[in-house]
Amino acid sequence: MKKVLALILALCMVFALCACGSSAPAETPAPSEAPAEAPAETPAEAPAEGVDLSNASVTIICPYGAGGGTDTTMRVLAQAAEKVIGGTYTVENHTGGSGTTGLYDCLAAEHDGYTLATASVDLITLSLLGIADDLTLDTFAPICILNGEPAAIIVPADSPYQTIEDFVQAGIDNPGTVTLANAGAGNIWHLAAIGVELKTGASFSHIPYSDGTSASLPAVLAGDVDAVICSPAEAASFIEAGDLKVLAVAAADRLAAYPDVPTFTESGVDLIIMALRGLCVPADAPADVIAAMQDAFAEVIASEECQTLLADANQTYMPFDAEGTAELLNGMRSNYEAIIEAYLASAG
Amino acid sequence: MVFFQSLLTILHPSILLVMIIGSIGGIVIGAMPGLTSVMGVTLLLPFTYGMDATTGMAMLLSISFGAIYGGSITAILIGTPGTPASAATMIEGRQFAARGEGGRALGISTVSSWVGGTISAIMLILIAPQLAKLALKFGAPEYCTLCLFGLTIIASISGKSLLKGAIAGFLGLLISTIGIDPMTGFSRFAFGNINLYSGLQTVPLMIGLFAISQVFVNLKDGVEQNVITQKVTSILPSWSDLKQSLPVAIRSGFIGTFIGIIPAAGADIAAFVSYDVAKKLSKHPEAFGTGCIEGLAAPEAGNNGDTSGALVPMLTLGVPGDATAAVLVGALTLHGLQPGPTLFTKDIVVVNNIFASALIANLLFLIFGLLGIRVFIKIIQIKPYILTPIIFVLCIIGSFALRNNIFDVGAMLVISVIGYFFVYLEIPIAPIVLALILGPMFESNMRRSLLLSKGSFSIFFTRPISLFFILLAVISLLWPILRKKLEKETGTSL
Repeated sequence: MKKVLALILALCMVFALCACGSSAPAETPAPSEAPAEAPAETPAEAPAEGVDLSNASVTIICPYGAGGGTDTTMRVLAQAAEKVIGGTYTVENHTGGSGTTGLYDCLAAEHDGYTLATASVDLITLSLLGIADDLTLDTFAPICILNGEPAAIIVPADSPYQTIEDFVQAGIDNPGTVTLANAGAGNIWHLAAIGVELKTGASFSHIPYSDGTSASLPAVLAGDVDAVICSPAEAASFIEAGDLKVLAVAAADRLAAYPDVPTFTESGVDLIIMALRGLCVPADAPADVIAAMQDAFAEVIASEECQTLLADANQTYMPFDAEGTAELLNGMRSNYEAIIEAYLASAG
Repeated sequence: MVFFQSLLTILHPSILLVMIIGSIGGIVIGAMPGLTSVMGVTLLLPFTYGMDATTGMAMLLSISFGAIYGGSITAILIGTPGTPASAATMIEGRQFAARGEGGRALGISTVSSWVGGTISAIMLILIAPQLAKLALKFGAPEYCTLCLFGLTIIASISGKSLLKGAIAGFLGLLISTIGIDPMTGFSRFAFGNINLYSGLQTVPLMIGLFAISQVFVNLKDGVEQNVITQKVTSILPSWSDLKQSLPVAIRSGFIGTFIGIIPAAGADIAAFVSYDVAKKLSKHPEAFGTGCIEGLAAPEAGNNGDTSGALVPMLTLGVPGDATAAVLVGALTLHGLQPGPTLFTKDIVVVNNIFASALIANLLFLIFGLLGIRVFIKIIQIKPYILTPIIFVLCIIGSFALRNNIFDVGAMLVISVIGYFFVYLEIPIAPIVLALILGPMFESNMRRSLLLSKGSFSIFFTRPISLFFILLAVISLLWPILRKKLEKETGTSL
């Protein structure tokens, strides 16, 4: 009887450790310890290079759930970084608060430059939407972008709208009658749809599917809605099967996977909207560590390993180094200001 | 072919080991009075955070199937149902025990549970892909009226009283409105708290409602230590017992599956209906209640028949068939999988793995039930004061580890106090959780339908599937009244 009890207790404890070890930050004190020593020692030895990252243990806080697209990109980055830079990279998912929880948790951790967070369009939209005024490019310094998925207008193969011009014209001629599904109100694809309206003067009836794009695809296939706005990757299986057709993508250049699909810009709609995924770090972390991270990750995103891992995960390779990321995000800001103003006005 | 691949995946030692642990754990949890199968699944859900979807689901299914079976051990040997699902088993089971035939009864119940569970698993594998194809035709109006049907079922059958079921259901609906408005994208009822901005997490709420509130109840009432005096040696059933129980078990397996498919009707109802049908169709109904084999086999096959049946609407439509399936919805979404027809196109491998693990999970409790019964009898005599703190710690860890967010632990504790008082007021808890899942589906699909129809409610009545669900909803609401009338006319209880 005693033995059985002891066994059960031991099993419980092992289980408890499993549950914690997988995700709880309390169990991983390493990140804050190791780096604390590193900057203190290295400057004397190698003042030119400053920081040695090859043994660093770095935490990446992902503000979205495990298994999702953002999480996948973060894990690709972590895996590639371990190979290219060395050291250990742990991804933690701190979800909730529309993506704010993870970013706030990163700010709450020690600003030593070894706790990173996901960089995304959130760093522009969260403050503009009035959700979190302080989560901006002023508080976070960009490190890199690895993945970008552009918005695209996608229709059933037998849709009356076979070109983006047809579709936009229908939205101008009969305002508010063409239905356009998105992945939830206020979601980046919804904002992209408002962007199309602002740039063209068309008006669509937006149908939000708050469970995400996958929930809206059956409705598009069944003809309940006329079109959906999402990234081509999200609808790839239906596009390949010939059930759905991409009219245009909101990227700077045509996508390698869809060479025949025009960009919005080509079609006279001056709009670039992409879901971007990369890394950032609290801006007031030690400048030498930030610089070292930025240099190291420029190498990581260019590496063969990283590209292979990303391709295996079916994500679009769209690399930007720190400078490029800052430029890209800042360049998008004015676009989003107008879009979000229109969105807030429409929602009252 | 694909299915055999899945079978091989599941039989991989790493997954099989997790399933064995889950199955044994499930039997123990089910056998402990005060620990239900839903509670077991909720309690162990956090351990699957770090697993992949297949392993996690395989483990949770093993726990749930094992627990529904395990409840019969205590129902037979002590005369207290280990889970509500085995309350019907107790009627005949304790008669066997009184005659000193506890082992014989356990043998019958183990095999019947397996028969019921396996029929249910096979039905799941046959029905689900077909239903998923049909579900692809479901648009917003169909989902809306399906949820409406599910919600009316909750109110009409999940509790003893319609009013109390409705109270619990509405509380769940109310809680589900906190967070992002599905149509405008703006937060509501968050009261400026950033943690409420995207709503309350369902998993911590489930842990609070199913696990902690029960711990509180146990603390107040005290749980007597199980003392089993009956000596049980071998429980391998004899050939004649098998022959007598098999036809009833097969029929009850189908009944259980069917009840499992109906949204919100769970294993306890499946067991009672199976028992009732067996009695009505029996050549010797007078033997029921005195310890007859059919009366024991029916509810056991029925409640395990529910287990996979409840997965049918859960996997194909995202509408849970019972409270356990509601927790499994939470488990799937944790792994980034959205239950519903697209699961069958996008993640068909996971679906096949779930099918395979359903078959194996049933086999596991059969093996361990037959071989390990003496060990289980020892374990279930564990002292409550050792068990209770373990459960408490697991609940706290489970709520925290979900998002590394301490707010969730607080939310879990607050709802557990509400759950505690509900238990005393005899308000059923399961409707809260089912409404938590169905509420947002109902709301967003209703408002989406109205957007599509430009505000006209006719969209719900002009589409045939949608109209069908509305009719079902009306029938289920009128059922309590209809039942009274029928009972009066026929003079029997339904």
